Amino acid sequence: MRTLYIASRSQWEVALGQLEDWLISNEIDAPNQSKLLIVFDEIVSNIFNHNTQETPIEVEVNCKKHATSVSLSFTDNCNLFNPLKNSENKPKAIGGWGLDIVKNLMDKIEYEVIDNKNCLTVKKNIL
Amino acid sequence: MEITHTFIDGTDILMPKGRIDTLTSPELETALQPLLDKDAVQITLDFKDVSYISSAGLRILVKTAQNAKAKNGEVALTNLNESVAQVLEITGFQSFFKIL
Repeated sequence: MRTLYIASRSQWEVALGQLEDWLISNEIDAPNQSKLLIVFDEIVSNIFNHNTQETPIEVEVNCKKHATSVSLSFTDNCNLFNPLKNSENKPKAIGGWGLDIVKNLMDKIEYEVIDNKNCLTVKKNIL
Repeated sequence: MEITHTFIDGTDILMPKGRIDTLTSPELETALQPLLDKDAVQITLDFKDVSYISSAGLRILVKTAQNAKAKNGEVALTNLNESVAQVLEITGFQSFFKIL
């Protein structure tokens, strides 16, 4: 397992590089690497773009390789918000397709609240 | 992000290199802006060296295509890899661009 921390734009870039290294070291094939990196960008940008709190954002990303899948869990301290709720029927503003992309590229996506924090977990089958 | 710009037969050809995501898409937008200020807008984006694109990058492409169309111009995409093509398909924008 690998844990990444993001609290600023510069740390976002560092975490992206760490995720790329982790995917390569775990021998995830290139197409699935791209899918997971796209999903990382969509979810982290959603967290940063939709936060309305004045408290500094803290995002923790837990990367796990399982027997037949890879999961990324994003935990953040922003306002509690379930992005999966009522997302299906909303009209898409320009640039508002992030969640559609995540849902289509991943095999499973779950939202839960843990210790009063948002936790969004995506899973991609790799076999 | 490294972006190579050439001008051939009346078409501006941009060849970005690497990923097009939230962190890099502003650079692509900056590179595209002066091309949209021209009287005749013909832009081809060569994705040969692009590994993937996220919705942040796609937003720039869509805005560029809309602005080009408003001036009777066109934005074409070429050399799309599987990942880029899939994102275009998911969002329904594959028909929005001329794919070479």
